[in-house]
Amino acid sequence: MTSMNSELLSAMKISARGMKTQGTRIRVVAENIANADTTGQTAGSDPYRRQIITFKNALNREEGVDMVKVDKIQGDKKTPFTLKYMPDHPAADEKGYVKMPNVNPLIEMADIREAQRSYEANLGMIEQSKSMVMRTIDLLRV
Amino acid sequence: MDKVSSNIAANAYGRTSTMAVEKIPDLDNDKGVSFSQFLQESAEQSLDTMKTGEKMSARAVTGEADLTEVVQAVNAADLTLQTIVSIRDRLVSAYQEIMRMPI
Repeated sequence: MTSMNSELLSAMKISARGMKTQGTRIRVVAENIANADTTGQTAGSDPYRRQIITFKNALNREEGVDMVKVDKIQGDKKTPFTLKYMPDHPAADEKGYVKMPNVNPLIEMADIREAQRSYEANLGMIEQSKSMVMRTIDLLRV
Repeated sequence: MDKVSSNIAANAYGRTSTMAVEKIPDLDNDKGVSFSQFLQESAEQSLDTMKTGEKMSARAVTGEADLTEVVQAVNAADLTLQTIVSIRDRLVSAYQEIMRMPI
């Protein structure tokens, strides 16, 4: 389906999709921060594993354009869990250590900033496309 | 000599008449799009955009749709409507101008 200002309307659609994926990214970061202290339930069990979001470009055949979409949200298997000495904790192992999540608040904070900037960039693109369409329509008004 | 030149002239005249026939445009098999056809197609496509906008706002009310998608669809519908209204205003003003023309 195309319309009169199809190119500019497609541009707005692409940017809106970009904003949507950045929203998903913020959601993942929120999950990571909220679960920064979530340990396992039983002795020696694994705590919450930090989630990483990846994006990929997907061809939208309807519009004939490349749009961004969320590729995968998967656990961070490279960053090790930290150990904390809490012998009374239900998740403590025989030596009294509890595995804590591999969430680093500083990294999450940087990710939030990046998502925010990307969201704003897409928002700016929509504003730009819209003002171009509006100014073109203004030509018809006498 | 006179006879030859008059023959040439007659032949040339004959050729021009067939050329003229060949050049008449074939309106029935014209591949181009007529203005009314163009208007109709644009209107149908615009209607699609408007319908999408309406559907998305309905889904937003029930909380099913993503905010950015709703904003995008409503935005596109709004821009399309403004385009249609501008074109209509332009057509009406052209019509009125013709009506005002002194006969």
